[in-house]
Amino acid sequence: MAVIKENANQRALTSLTLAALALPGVIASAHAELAPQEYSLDANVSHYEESGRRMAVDIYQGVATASVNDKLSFKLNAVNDVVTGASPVGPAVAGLSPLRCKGPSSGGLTQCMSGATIHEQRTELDLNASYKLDAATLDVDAGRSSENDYISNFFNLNSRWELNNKMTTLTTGYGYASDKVWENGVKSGPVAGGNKETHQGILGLTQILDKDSLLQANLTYSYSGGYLSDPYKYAYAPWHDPYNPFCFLGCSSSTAYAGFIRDTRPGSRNQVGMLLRYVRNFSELNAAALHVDYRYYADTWGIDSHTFEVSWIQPVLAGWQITPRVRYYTQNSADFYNVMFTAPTANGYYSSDYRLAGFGAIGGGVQISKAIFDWLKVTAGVDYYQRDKGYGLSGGNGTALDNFSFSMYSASLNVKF
Amino acid sequence: MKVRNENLMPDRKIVRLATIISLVLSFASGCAGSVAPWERGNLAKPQMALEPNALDAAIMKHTYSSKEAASGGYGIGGGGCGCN
Repeated sequence: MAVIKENANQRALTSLTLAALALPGVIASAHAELAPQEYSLDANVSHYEESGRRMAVDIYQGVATASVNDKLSFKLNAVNDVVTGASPVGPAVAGLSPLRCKGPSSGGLTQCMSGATIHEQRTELDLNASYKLDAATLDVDAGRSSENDYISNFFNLNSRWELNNKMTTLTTGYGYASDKVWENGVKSGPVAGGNKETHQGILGLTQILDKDSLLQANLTYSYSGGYLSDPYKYAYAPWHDPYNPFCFLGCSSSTAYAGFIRDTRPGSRNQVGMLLRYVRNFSELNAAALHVDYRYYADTWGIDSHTFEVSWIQPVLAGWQITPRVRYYTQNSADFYNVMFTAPTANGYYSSDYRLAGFGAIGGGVQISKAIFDWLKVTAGVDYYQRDKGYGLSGGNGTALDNFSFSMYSASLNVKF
Repeated sequence: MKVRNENLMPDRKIVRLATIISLVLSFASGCAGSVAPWERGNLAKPQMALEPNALDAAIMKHTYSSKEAASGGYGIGGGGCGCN
């Protein structure tokens, strides 16, 4: 910004200073980063679609923000996901597999898919209260997410502290979630599922580097305990008692899965994530902004992962803005993951869940937005994601049967009152 | 198959992470000159926010965490889901 003369309009200077001090992005939670307005409404409609006629999700999300005064504000977040399609159960040997193992085949294996077409909804509501002090902001958030086979109740406490002449922002937070999951559609026999608890913590610092760039470093820790398996997934274990088959979506003879064993994971999981973010302004390019993110993740199931994301926000004429972005992700497999299990394991853990395999993924997309009348902004975007075992650099077990891609189409609007 | 005690986070990883973060932030604050409030106009632009489109970012991160093992780093909060 150019030098401001001493006799410049004090009100303008104050407004600009306040805007600058309310530094965007110093808030760790994605939920809490909407620009502060007296009243605002954000609405988003997205369509998610996987390749191979797998899952499809229509996502409807809205956020309403209201400021009571210059210290206290409330925010209500509502989400409704409508889910259809089928999801992978686990790979099995081709030809020896039950009726529903009719997914993609490769290398003598075939993918078993959920038999019935899934049609369910997820609804989430959460309310956030934010209170500003002289050099700190406190956030309280509580909510509930429910499906016909999953319920999650959660609350989060976050604080942000401005230090070092507001050059540095310290973020701390704690989150708790109590979840319950169960197998839906079981007509007889035992129902898989259970409860789990999750405790999360965050410690983050955002540092202004100069008048055009800033850096953020976050460290998050999460502990989960309880039922952490997936009640809908099975691992192929041909040695497993074929005369007492587990059942899939009910115990009629046509749906029994002999030679399979339920997804069985450890009862606890510790997860650590480290995020580094760099943002830089390019005044000479019409105030374009470069965003570079790197995340390292590790957990006690033996998984390590690396995530790289780069986006370029380019303002163009008349309120138009275009944002291309790319993403790369790689992870190795969990210690107890295997494509199939030819013998019992010593620890009794079994999982062929594709999300615990070793793989890589490349993604990218573009968003275009247009600001209208200073109080309305509309945005449309498309993203594409390709998961492939061969893209992974982290090693571990996995199979090309689990390769898939998805596309995400979105439209959103932001209204300020 | 590697054998690991699932109740203990590998200490070396935590130490390594803490060291990296400390070094980065030390470097960052060492490099950071003082930026007066009236020089922060560029930083206050909407495109300079860490999450310029928070709603879109929340949806994408929820999607990724449903299809990948990793989560966290960006923040805490939100409930779990039975996503498959």
